[in-house]
Amino acid sequence: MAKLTTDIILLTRGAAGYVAALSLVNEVPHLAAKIRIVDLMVAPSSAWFNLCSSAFGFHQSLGVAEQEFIVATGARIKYGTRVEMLGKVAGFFSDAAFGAPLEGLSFFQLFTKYVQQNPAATLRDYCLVAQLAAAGKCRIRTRQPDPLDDLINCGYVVGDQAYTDFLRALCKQKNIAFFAVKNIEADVAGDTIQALTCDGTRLLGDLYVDCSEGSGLAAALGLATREIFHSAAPLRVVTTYDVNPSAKLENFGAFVGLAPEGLRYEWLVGSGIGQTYCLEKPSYGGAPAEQGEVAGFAALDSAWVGNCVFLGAASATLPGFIVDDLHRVRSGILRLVNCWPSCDNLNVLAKIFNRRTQEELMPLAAIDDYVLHCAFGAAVPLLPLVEHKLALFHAVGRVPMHEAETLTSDNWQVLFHAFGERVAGSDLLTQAMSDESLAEKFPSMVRFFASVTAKSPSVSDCYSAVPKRNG
Amino acid sequence: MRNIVIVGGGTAGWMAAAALSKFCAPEQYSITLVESEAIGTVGVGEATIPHLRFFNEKLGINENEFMRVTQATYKLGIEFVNWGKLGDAYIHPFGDFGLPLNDVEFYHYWLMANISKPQRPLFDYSLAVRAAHNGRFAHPRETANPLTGTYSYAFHIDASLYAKYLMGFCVERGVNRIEGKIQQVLRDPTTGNITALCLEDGSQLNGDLFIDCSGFRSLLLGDALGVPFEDWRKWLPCDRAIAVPTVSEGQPRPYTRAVAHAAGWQWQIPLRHRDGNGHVYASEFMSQEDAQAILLANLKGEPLAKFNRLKFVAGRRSQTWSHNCVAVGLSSGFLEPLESTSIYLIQLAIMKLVELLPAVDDYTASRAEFNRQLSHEYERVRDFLILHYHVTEREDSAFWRYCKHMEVPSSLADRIALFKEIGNLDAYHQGLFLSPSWVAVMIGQGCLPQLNNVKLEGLGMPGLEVAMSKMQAEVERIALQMPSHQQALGKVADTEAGDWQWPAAAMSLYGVFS
Repeated sequence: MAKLTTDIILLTRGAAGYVAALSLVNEVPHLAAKIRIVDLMVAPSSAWFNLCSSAFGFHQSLGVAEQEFIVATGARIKYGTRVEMLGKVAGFFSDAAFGAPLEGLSFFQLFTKYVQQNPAATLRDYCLVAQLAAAGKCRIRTRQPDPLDDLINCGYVVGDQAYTDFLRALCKQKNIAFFAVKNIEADVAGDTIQALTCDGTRLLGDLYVDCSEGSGLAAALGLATREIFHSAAPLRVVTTYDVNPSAKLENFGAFVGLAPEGLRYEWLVGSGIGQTYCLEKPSYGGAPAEQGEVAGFAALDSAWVGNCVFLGAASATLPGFIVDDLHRVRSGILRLVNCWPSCDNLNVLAKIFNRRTQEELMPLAAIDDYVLHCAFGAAVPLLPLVEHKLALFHAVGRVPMHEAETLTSDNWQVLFHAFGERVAGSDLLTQAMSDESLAEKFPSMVRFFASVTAKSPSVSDCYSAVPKRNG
Repeated sequence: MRNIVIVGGGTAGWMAAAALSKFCAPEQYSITLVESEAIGTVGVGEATIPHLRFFNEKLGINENEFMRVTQATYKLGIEFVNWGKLGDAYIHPFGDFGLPLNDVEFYHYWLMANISKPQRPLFDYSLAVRAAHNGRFAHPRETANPLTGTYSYAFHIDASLYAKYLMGFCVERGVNRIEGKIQQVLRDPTTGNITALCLEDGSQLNGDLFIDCSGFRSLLLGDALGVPFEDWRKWLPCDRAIAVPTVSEGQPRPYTRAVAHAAGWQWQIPLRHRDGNGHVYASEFMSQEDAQAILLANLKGEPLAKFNRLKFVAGRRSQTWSHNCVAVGLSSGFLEPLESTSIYLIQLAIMKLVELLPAVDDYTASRAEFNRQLSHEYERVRDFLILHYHVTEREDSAFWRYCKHMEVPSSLADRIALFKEIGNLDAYHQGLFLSPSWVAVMIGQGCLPQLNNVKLEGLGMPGLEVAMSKMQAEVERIALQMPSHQQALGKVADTEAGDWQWPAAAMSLYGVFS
């Protein structure tokens, strides 16, 4: 009989490993005593996390309300991304709720028809958080349930160090062992890790989970990587912190701007953050070229090999315009639990895990590919997956979905609308909807969101009303 | 004006015509259906699955009227007899087992308890199964007790009456019905698109979009456009059926029966006015004479007609939509009716067409997506059907030995292996049969994992057994409070008492409210 319990060594460089450990213990509480986190983070980090909206559910599962998370970490709400193309505002991306379905048809199908008769209608009029952001308003969710909470979905921007400290404290509460190290060395035989020597101490585990980009474990195992999407010229990533926030950010939290020189991506935190992706003109946006690095967006061929599993950034590096690496760590843990290696037949488990990992990864890569394609055109060709989604969107206003996609069809709709894509005509079901129904429902939605927005506090009032952190 | 031409007037043809006439604006589309009374229809699927309710609801059809017209009875699942081994029986219900505890599906708890010591069957925790076994039926309800919403229901219908009913529906909505046989299919030499159909009487029927509902003949997709057929007989070797209606015997059961025989299986479908029966078998392993003798020996009532003999090959066309032609039903592929999926696959193709048909004549994107989704669904249904034959202890005939030891598609092999190893299912979200169905067949046919789910390790057994016992008692209590199936059918038949209100439909096998 194979054994059910497993000693797990989680390798990380900051928050990712703690997210993995907490997610794992959420799913399988008794494993807490079996986990050891090896943290390669040797110096305090001044970087920032741009968390996507799934972080809210994760924090809730840890018993932490949004308000408490903000108090503990100083995080700021990110309602979405304001999109600008060649100096002209194109739209707004958020994975919050838009509008409301009607008679079994999704809001976006209806919007496709409505906008044909009302060209002035814009998508963001039907999204509460877009209205809030545009008006400089904010709503922070507390433990007291509010019916409007369902209409709010937001990401966060939080300091890397503050978030890691926050997660580390939660791990401590759950008795998950962790310790910081400077060096690791893997003792590898074939595709199996025999032991991990951390600052001279030899650690033995049954399962090694690497959440740390660049730990060297993948190289030690001789794992192959492959390009996720192709860029004709080296994609240069420039990351700068503590610059003055751009006016273009307004209150949305993030900004994607497309200009002839390249693509600029910014998100708002305290005194401001900017990230710029450039192709041939790395000085675009004023960021010094020497701060940039050539980014390779690549994935491991297999995220589970032998007794080692790679999650998040350790399994694939993506620009992450919309979904962050920590989300991929959490979803990876869910996959791992479903294929938990308690039996001897690891090949079957790893095969399913690896297939599911790819199924999640490719649509995520497709988002980034699409955004970069919008910026750089043919230099970053569209992946077939995006081509297909886009073609159907243009044809009938629907977005085909694949198994294990992180985003929903609605999310893709918002994205395509935000970047100015247009639908040729609606499908038969939508065409059959009466114009009178739409003429009645759509303005009432706008009025409702406007009235909620008017009653919501301003961003500054909202944060100043948050209780200060005790001690 | 766009002309849509539907070829064939069986269940598929009239379902397609009904949906298109409902959703296509009459000022933009004209719909013509061409059929020949000289050509019989196969009359696929007398047993349905809950999705048909969704289809009818979209058309605005009154469920009670539909049941009266089609001589329908209710259906809560399918009983499989002699599949895991001779003498075994279980019901694959339209519903889940028990209720999840701490976000973990109930069957994991049952498996854990069963590993510790043998438990009462998992199926005793399914409300649909207990109601079916007790000959009861009530609509699922959303109440304070979540168990009352854990199942869904379908019908046993006379499919030919359903097609006739829909024909009336269509004619009222302006569908043009033409009696005639197709002699020739004309194609555009440049695009390859079908441009017109030449009928035997010399007339010509022009069209922009053609729906091929011509059954096994696949006149347009197969013959005219030459879309190849993928043969799946190596996994689903049954290729013949003998069908016969019989006089109803006793009260109709609210479930279908599928009794395995030496080289196939026999269906028993109770309608209000008769029973449907048939023997599906593999001609490589059994002669027609033996198959007929087995069917005759196992009929409960007197035959009402001659034996109807059918030949088929399991498989599908490599594309369901090619050029400007969409195949619906048997013309696109065939999977044996073991899980009553024939009408569902018709419905799915029609619904996808309605969702994806573009306003302009460039079908490229819609066609690619339509084919992707249909292909996916066919393969997942195929895998689920193969599971019934493959996960078995039976080796009492050459047919069963073949099925047990055949190499199955890797998608299925991986799924079975994962379940056998750790009791988990490689869950998917896009497909007809989700976890509860796979659990029903795996456990119903004796495929039990050896290990507990990792999430349940350390759970105290005494507390679990008490909780399971309470849940089972509650399931039984609710089942026994339901009216008998006969009483429920009486409510449907009683037109003077007003409509027996049915719940809104959902595209789910596992609960109207899911």
